[in-house]
This record gives sequence, structure tokens and C-alpha cells, in this order.
Amino acid sequence: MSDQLPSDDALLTSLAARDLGALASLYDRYGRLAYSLAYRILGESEAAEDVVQDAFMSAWRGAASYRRERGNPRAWLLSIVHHRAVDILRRKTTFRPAPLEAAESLPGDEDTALSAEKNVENRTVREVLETLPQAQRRTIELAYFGGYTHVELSALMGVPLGTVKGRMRIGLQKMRRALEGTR
Amino acid sequence: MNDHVLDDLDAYALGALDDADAGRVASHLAVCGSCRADAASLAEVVGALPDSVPLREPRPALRERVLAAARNGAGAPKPARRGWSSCG
Repeated sequence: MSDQLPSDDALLTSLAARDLGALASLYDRYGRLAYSLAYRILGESEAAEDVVQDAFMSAWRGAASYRRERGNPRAWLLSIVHHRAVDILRRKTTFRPAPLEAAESLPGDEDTALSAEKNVENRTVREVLETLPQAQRRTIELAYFGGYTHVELSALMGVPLGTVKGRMRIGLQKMRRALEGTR
Repeated sequence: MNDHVLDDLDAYALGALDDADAGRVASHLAVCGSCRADAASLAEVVGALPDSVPLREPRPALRERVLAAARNGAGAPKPARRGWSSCG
């Protein structure tokens, strides 16, 4: 096995040149994480797969216009996944999972355990989230994974909008500090 | 005019604004380097959130679907089934 894997940036450059091999490599690198994120938001595998396909197609079509200030390639791809999944969630008005409960009850198949063990990043971010006071963590998770707007969260949680904003701000600040401490 | 959008940057980074508010923030970011820098910093933190999800393996066929879609042009056919159509 070669140690000289192409960088994410190099893969995007190849994608822009319509290199299907680069798309395959990008999928092999991030397909599972993209699917896991979409599944976490949507709670069903078929919808999650559709989102992943759409996101990779969007990357395929948009690679030529990708610019670094939109985030690194991984962040860019995952932001497409997130955006599309949340968009679908918001349109499906009858489907709103209870995110915390859903997160805690998602099947922990053997692959999950194996991956979590292998993926230090995965474990670290989860641990960082768990260190947040519950109100902050819940606000961040309901917003990011549950697709709720801050106005909806204010109503859902029965607190003023300013409180929701404050929980987001302080929670993200704490996350930033904690993540910086792990790097 | 310089109505900074600091108050909404966290929600913006989390994708927790409605379309109108998100558009307002995006318009401001296009012309304000200071808010743009803050937004980029927040986006980096939010960008770590996917790493907190339990990893799940998609069906192997998804890889071929993705590659076939690219091979065939913009939109490869998806398996016909109930529900919504492409959001793209």
C-alpha cells in the first residue's frame, strides 16, 4: 500500500478535471462519514443514501468552482451533506426525530464500535460535546442534527431567543477551546 | 453601512437560521471581512460535529450509484420509490 495518497485538495483538482478515479477515492475517504451524518440527521438509510449521492454529485459538478475559503474539501463536502439533509428534514414536516433520544438509541452495530475505536477524531469530538452543560449540548445538537432554527428552538425549549443564541455561542466557544486543546 | 451580524453568526454556522435570515447574514459576510473571519472560525468548530456521529456503513451499492451518476452526467436515475425527489 502506498503512503503517498493524494491530498483532498489534489482529489478536488482531479475532480474538476472529470477524473472518475478521484471521485471514487473521495467517496472511499468520506462516503461513510457523509452517510453517517446524513443518517444521523434523517434517521433512515434510503434518504441518507440519496443525500450522499446528491452531495457527491454536487461536489463532482462544483469542484471546478471550489475555493479554499469555503472550507477544506472535507468540510465543504460535509457541509453540502448537512445542508441537503436538513433541507429535506425541514420539508418533511411530519418527520422530526427527537434528536437526543434518537442519537442515544441509534443502533450501535459492531461496525460502529470498531470505527469509533479506530477513529480518534470521532471519539474526541463526542467527548468534547459530552463535557458541555446539557442545555448547550442539546441546543447545538437540536440545531445541527435536528434542523431546528433558533426561533423554533426558542419555542421548543421554552426559553427566550436570546437564551438560545447564548447557549449556541458559549457552547461553540467551549467546543473550540476544547478541540484546540486536543490538537 | 455596517450592521454586523455577530448575534446570528453562531446560528448561521449551525445552519439554524431560516432562509431569509441566512440570506441576510450571507449578504453581510460578502462585504464584511471581520464577520467573515468570525464565521470561518465558527464554521471550523461546527465542521467538527460530523465527527461526533456514530459511524455507519452505507450499502456497497451506493458507491457504484455515485460513480454511475457521475459517469452518466449530472443526475443518474435513483431507484424508484416513494417519497421526495432530488433536492438538487
